[in-house]
Amino acid sequence: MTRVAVVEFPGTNCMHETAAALRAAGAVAEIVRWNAPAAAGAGFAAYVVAGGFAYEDRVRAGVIAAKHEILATIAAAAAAGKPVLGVCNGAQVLVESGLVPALESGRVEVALAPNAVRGWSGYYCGWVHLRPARHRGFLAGLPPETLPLPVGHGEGRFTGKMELFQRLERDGQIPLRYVTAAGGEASDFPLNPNGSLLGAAALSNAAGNVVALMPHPERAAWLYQVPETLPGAWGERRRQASGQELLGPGPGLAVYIQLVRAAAVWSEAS
Amino acid sequence: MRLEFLVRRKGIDATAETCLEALQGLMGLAVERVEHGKLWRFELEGDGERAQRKEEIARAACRAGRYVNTNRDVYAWLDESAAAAVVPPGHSATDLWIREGEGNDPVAQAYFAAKLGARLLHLQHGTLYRLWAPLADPAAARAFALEVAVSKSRRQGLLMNPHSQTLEVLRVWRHESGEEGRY
Repeated sequence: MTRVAVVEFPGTNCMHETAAALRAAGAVAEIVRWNAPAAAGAGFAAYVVAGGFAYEDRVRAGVIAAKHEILATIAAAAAAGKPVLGVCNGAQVLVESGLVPALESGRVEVALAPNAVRGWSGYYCGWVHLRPARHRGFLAGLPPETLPLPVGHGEGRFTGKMELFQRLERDGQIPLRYVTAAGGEASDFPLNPNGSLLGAAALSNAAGNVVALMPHPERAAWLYQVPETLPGAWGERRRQASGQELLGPGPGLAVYIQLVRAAAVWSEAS
Repeated sequence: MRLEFLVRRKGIDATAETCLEALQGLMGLAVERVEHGKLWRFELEGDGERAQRKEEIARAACRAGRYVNTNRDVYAWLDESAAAAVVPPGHSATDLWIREGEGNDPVAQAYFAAKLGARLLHLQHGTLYRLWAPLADPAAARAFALEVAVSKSRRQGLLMNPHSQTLEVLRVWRHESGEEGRY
């Protein structure tokens, strides 16, 4: 079985549902706390930095957690090619630690800034639709369909120099983008819920094994978590389902299945 | 006329203490103390009636707890002694103002413009960090504060992400010297 660490900082609040989704995806998931001895965080085949509010988002979301020693373990795992996923606050940690997009090793190159959209300010919570794009890493295996996932954040706007984002797009480092339910361009709020450049919902490093993802796949790992009112194919599946069918996979489980598969491949290869 | 309005927490500020813990404990930096607050910069037409303008701004900010919650916050003017730093001999305190983008806020600008007796030309807000360090030389203190502030890598910089925020060094304070000059 593939062992995956779910990293928890003080203020992280999504570690249990993340671990549950990883177990449903076939992994042995263990929650590793920030203050565990270094040995406790080593030796996993993959790492997921879970969502929440590490250090209560003080100073800037993710930045204090990014300074923690456990990030050195995660950086070493990333350098070794192991899959690393940061979800929401975990994505903020990866960006602030320079693990994504990592064009120049270890440099902080982009920001996850406060949401800036017309007609809304501050924290936003709702469902969005994502379109998988060309990717070199573990998200390459996602089905080529629109992926609905929930978001809940106040600082989720991927931003930086436009030329850099164009380069990331060209090089397949924007694996998921906000779109309409039908897969069309998400021009404005709430389709693009935070004003991210190029509608980026996720960024990865060049190798594709480290992904910072703002939406929460673990909150959509089972079909019963999908709202009946959701438009598109997943909403239709939810409306048609009843009884035990509701315990079937939701759209977000695919993200964890891809991660666990990549971790298993890495373990076998090494 | 420029007026700078500082809003801080009453009592112990958890953000300042968490920030200090990160700087000292996680990054091993010689920062001795951190203060933090929200700083508003008002650029108003004309130079007269400074005290009256301050009164209008404070009243508008406190109204219904809109920008100052008087149960939780205290306010001061950056050009008055209540906002001055107390610095021991051989040490310094550097004021850094970090804004999201340029710190513009159209909603706050429209609100205050409607409340003030003088034309509001520009309004910006951001976070003020005051960092104490064992450095007597203002230039060294300024350079150290910038090193502490700008996030460049996992090991370097904490307070601002240069890809979405802007930073201004407002002052370096020395022992009993008051303001050492603006940069």
